[in-house]
Amino acid sequence: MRIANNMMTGNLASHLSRVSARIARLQVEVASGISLQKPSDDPDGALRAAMLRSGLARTAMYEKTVNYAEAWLKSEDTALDTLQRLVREARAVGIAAANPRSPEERETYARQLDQLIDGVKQAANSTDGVHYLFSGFQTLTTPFTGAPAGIGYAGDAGVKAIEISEGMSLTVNHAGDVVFNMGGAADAALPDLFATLATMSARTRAGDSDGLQQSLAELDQHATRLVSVRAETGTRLQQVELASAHLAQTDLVLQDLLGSVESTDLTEAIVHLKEQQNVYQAASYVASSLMNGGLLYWLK
Amino acid sequence: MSTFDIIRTAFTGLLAQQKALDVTGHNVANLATPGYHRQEAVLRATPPPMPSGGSTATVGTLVGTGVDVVTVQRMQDAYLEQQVRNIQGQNGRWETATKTLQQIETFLAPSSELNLATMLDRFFSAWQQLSVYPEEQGSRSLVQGEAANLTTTFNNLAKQLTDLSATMDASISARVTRLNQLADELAALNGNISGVLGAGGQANDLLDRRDAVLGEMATLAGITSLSANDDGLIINLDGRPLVQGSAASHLSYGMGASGWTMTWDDGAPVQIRNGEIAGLFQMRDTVIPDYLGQLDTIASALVSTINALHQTGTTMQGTPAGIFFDGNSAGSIAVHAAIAADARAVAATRVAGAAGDGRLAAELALVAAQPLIGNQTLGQAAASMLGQIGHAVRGATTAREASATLLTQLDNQIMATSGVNLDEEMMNLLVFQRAYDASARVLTVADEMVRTVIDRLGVR
Repeated sequence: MRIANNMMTGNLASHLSRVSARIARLQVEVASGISLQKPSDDPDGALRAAMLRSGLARTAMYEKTVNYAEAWLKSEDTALDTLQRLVREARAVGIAAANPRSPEERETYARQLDQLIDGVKQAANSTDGVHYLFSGFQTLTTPFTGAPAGIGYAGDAGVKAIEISEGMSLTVNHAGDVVFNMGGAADAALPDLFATLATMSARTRAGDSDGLQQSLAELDQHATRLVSVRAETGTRLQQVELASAHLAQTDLVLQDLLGSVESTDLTEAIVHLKEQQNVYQAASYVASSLMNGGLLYWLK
Repeated sequence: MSTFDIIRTAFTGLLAQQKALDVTGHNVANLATPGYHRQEAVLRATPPPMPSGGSTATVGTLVGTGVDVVTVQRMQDAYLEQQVRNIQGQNGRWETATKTLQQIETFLAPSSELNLATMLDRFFSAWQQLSVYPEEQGSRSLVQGEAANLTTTFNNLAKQLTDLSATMDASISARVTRLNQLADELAALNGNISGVLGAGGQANDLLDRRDAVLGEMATLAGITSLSANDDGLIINLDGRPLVQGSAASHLSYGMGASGWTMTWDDGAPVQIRNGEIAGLFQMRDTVIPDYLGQLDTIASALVSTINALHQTGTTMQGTPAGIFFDGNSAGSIAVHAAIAADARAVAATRVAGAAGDGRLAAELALVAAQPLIGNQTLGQAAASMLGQIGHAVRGATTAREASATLLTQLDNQIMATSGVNLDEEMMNLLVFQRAYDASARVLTVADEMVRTVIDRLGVR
């Protein structure tokens, strides 16, 4: 084949520019740590990366939800613990007051019970910092208000369920009407906790021992319900912790997969870069020596 | 045969070698000229004078009368050059396709982390957040803000693609103008060439120029067929002659009843199937509308689904909620004015006054997982556009590289015939120079011979 000078220079120039392009590309890969710069670098990879990133976004979103649920459930658990303690104290006071006592003693017990009612009200109005735990959907409304003798419920029966992972919804709250049997929401035959306590206090003042026995029986029913409510909260907390662990695991797996799709294999990239730089140097040397020699040089 | 004949013979040698040296000089001078075809002086021995009616028997042994440059030949591989024009058309087409697709790619995926799919994820995450914290106005502001980001992303993409489509029109228009200029130039060259050839001259350098023009025309419009006889070249485009001898037709590209259209100057329609112009048309008529259409599908599915759900809710103030999005396409989608003005208009619940109820927001967040477009979710549809453009850019780049490689190979093969090789020219220079010297020497010898005859044998 006849070789024209233009052919040699043209081919060399195109090789040099191709190698330069490869070097530039590898430099970006190494510098950024990302080999998937544009969808066209790896179209299927780009699709996978977008899906994985979407999965990561969802995981991050559920992590927030789970944190929220965990905080809520822990607050509720603390509030229920306090309530149980207060009911136990009220029971002890009630038993003591059921024995024959002087009016002064009865007044003292009654005052203790009134204070306990206040305590129960306070616990029933617990928040997770901002939102009332026991007011159903009316989380911004103080649920229990009124004088100890007639505490009313301003919340509703709202049951708050939130998604803690893909397709898994968890109920986080217990509405106050069920927890305190307001309006007989849990047991129609039973007065609400506040009424029970208020009646107990009145019966203590009146020295109504038989009545107190009945109040104590009612209080026991309230205590039993609180136990089951708290057990439920405990179960939910376990579910949330499980979901949290699962999310952390998913996050790791997705990160790992995303890394394998779009991250630069540094060792490989640097080896390639070195290789291309060598090729470039060699090509440059050839270019520099191409025009030396030839007949033009030797014929004088 | 007279002694003076030697002088004449030597003289033809001098003239011929000088001419050959001229050609060599021309070749060397055009070593780097693009499109230059190497030329070669074709030398031929001139025959001895044959007396009329004479024969070898009667006139004796005849010696030739020297040398003559019959013609200056232009070294060309006509078949390959025909072929290369076809490839130039394909290359031009893939070149424009690649550039445009790369632009679309940049629009759809400005970075690996920022794209429509991400914005959709963020939008739905905001709803999920609202479902957990329905009491907070901050959650509503988040939904409002992410919705604005999402609509802006849709609007920007639609505008970028529409603008790109308009750029295609401008590019086509500029190329059509250029094509018309080239047609005129070609027609003029055809005229010149036939004039020079008719007068018995050499039109080599005009032919070079014409080949360059043809190459550019092929790149622009992929000239489909051409019948090459040197002086009356006919260029066909879409089955009709664009240039015929020294007459050129023109194309026009302008706003017609159905948008921008391309016609012959007499109004007949023309379709260009190759070259840059064909690539631009393909982008404008098929590729860009396809991506716009997909964006519109995603946007309208989003708008109708979200609006239908949102309208069943109540706002933070307890009034019935309105629609969430305005518009029905990627270009027109916008956050509804009432919501853009006040984040409290975002509905998280269906129950008026239930501050802690985020059930509707949760339902809205779950729209992210619904297969709304075929069996794809909105996010998957957006992500699959990334895969699609990635494949398209890849395919076009590969095709362009293939045609460019083929073009280089063909160019090299053409150069093997037409290119200038300095070593060769140096050799020729040497040979012709020596031949010139030798002819001069023959002249000297002939001169001495004449002097011998005159001085020694002459009458005193």
